[in-house]
Amino acid sequence: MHCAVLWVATPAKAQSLDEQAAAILMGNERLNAVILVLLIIFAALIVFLILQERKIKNLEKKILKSYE
Amino acid sequence: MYKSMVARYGYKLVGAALVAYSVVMGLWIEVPQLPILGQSIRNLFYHVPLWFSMTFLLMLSAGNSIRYLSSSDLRCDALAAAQVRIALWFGFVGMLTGMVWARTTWGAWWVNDPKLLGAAAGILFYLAYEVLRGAIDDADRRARIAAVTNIIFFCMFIPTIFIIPRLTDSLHPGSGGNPAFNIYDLDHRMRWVFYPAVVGWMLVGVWLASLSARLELLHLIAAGILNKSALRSSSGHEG
Repeated sequence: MHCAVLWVATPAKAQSLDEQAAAILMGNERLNAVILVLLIIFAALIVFLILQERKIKNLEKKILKSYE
Repeated sequence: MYKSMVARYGYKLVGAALVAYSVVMGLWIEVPQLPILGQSIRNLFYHVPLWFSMTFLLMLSAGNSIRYLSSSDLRCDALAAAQVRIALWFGFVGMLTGMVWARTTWGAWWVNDPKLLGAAAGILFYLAYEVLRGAIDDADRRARIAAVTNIIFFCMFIPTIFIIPRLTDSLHPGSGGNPAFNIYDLDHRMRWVFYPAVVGWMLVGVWLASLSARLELLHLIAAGILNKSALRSSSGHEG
């Protein structure tokens, strides 16, 4: 409904009404999905690094023990 | 010395730079405004390269399994296993990110669509591969059986994820009457971000897999299965 209000409030310049309506409707719509996707990828990278870190730590312990 | 540094880190830096470029440019550039997709069309730069890289890694892995069968070199097996592991990782992340995208465009986290079911089945093949590896203790036996299984799974994976969904109707782009990469769909500005993203993620995937494989080699050496000399000639042993 507020889209309709904006539509009326925006003076027509070079754009047609349809284009203005499209711009208003699109705006930043659904950008949150992109940000969530980026966060998931980043979180996965960090989890992978932490798991590698733990594996290396275990291996270091194992090797140190074998020299005792 | 300098040359070997470039050889060792070159592709990793290129991969990291391409991914960084795609993350920034993917949010920066103007995208075509399409109904329903809206701004979420930018997920093309982040979600799709994960699947391309997964397939690329599985291809490399099948190649390394063939190399193992012809050489009985456990380093090839370690590399094949690591590439499957990272490919699975990419698959899970690709699945999760796809679900986010599906929620915002199709209205549900999951739909029983041929493309999605194919992807899930493909991931299950390789989970079975992991289970199989975990079930065999002897390193040489494990490597041989895993190599054969890996080659068979790759031959099943490609039709499951790329061919069958194309033969039926699917919501997912690139399937049925729903193309993804033709001139009408992929804007030329988007190509300049999408293709670098694909190459970047592939290189980063190879890097992650090489880390995982080197760790596996150290395990084999610590367990006394491989000799220390396996390390010396394994540098640059990434592909």
